Amino acid sequence: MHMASQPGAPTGRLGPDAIPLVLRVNGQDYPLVIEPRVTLLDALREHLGLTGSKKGCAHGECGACTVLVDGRRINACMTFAVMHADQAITTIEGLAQGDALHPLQEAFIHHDGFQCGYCTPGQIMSAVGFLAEGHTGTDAEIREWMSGNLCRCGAYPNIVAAIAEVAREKAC
Amino acid sequence: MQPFAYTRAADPSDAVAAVAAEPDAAFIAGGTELVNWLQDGLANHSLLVDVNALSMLGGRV
Repeated sequence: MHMASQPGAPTGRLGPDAIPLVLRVNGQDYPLVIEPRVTLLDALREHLGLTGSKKGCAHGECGACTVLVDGRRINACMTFAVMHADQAITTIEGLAQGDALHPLQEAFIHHDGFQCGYCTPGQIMSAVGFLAEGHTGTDAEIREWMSGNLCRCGAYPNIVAAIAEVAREKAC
Repeated sequence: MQPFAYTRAADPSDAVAAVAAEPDAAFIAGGTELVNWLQDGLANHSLLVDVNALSMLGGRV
């Protein structure tokens, strides 16, 4: 997962004008020319057209923009794209294998883990990170470790149920 | 957000030298709360020095 020495690592003083860089998103390399001040979220949404990651608060408080960077969940609104030019970025668009949904996507549908759906991509990406971190998946643990992802519709009981189901399956 | 230049520090002395050489430079690691300050205009920096690659911080963010 650690890719610091990958060829895409930017070196030297870059910007403030637009600079060329390559973002590896969902296994695909995307060449871009952007300023260093472009956040990872804006790069994904505005420059790559990957609008699954949502901009909720743009202040790192709601978690709607959660993506995985080298397998670790982060708020894409609180970091700059140039900082991740040599890392593997995974967004909600990269979870399904063709028509086969990721188990967490299936579980969110099965448990109705959303109302408006705006926070859902962030909830699911965060849940992927949660499971990868090796938590046991009790309701209390899910609520604690998913606390960075807010749902204004209040679908929390169903979100917890969806994640708990996948956590149980993973434990088997 | 005001434009800024970016550089990635290779080691601690490199990071310190880069920030010390420029009055308006700042370190960036996780980005909280610096990105918020930059977005709200509470902070403006000519250069951000990324210290994520320094092993002393326990790896990349």
